Amino acid sequence: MKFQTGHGGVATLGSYLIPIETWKVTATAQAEVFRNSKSGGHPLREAAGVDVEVEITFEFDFDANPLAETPGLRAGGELTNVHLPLRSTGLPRWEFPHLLAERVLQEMGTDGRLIVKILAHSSGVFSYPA
Amino acid sequence: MTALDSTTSITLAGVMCWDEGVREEFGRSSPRAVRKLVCRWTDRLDLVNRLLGYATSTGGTTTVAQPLTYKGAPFLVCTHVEIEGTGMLGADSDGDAAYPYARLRVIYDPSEFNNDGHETGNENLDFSSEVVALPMNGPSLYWSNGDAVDPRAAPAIHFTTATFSRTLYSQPTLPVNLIFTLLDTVNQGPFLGAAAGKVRFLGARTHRRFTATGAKNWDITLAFLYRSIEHNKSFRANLSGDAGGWQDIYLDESLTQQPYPPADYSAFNLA
Repeated sequence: MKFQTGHGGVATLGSYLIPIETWKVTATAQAEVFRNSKSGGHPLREAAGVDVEVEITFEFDFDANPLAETPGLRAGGELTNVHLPLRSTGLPRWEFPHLLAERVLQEMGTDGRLIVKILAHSSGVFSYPA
Repeated sequence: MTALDSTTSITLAGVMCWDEGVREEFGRSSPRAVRKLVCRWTDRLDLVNRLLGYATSTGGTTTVAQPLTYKGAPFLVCTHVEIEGTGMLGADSDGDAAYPYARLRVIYDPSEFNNDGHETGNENLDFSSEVVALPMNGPSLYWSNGDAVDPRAAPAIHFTTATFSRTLYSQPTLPVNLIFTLLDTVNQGPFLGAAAGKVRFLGARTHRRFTATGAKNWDITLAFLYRSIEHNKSFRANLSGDAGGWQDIYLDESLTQQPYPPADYSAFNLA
């Protein structure tokens, strides 16, 4: 068996292919905690909602400035149809119809690379890799 | 995964729920207990209705479900319930918000109810004074030597009256006819410890409320005026052949009708 996880990973924003370095997805569940007279001191938990945080790190593209109006990776901006395939551009992949960009970080490295990080949260339904 | 099931539930008034603890406050005048309960969202109104109590009337028969009492201090009864949806927010068939569970904050306050199956409610007693001007047509008062006080110089007589009110909670119907019928009557027999004729029915203030399942109930405050002299007595001067003093008065010569007719107050269920 040959492991190649992450090999050829891409991120797309609509039809725009983001020159990614890394991406990270953290899905979380909001837990409702119950403690009652018969639970014996052990909390009982039930999911009361899910959320997902997406962090994408990519190189700044001078030919298609990602911070410009198009594609517009700006704080407060909405990123639509973001796909994070696990391999190449096909399936399986995370699918986020709507992401709200909440933080945009640009970082100049001494190795000459200009790195941009987008921290976003999903708005609405999203899909796990399938 | 369902966190709450029968393994940790209790049954309260026939409804499955989960007991999340209590908070108690005890002061000289305001003891209170607050209990946190969780029940299924669809059971919440049935549970609240039982917690708060209600009354129904079917074919003239009144059924009273008294509010539930607090186990640790049975003189505290449920008076208020706050509800918050808990768990994954979803939608009912109409798209309105629905939850898997309801978290109830159940407040117990000192009881205003009897334990005899009838809610007699809150009581108030207030005092006032009535002044009677003595008649001018003859002597009414005497000096210590037996001389009559000149009616023109006679002082008025003051005596105390008491207004008593009692609120009946959660009545299934509004007894309008009963109230109208008994207005301006006096008690024909002993009533709340007062002798016949000394209590006059002043009327009732009503407040409509809804039970947790939408049925109408009424809170009714009945008001009575106690007078240490019977309401149908007036002061008569001492004329020749009559000793005078407090005497019954009538509206007719045949002595059949008094200003405040005696009536039976047992229908108020205040005993």
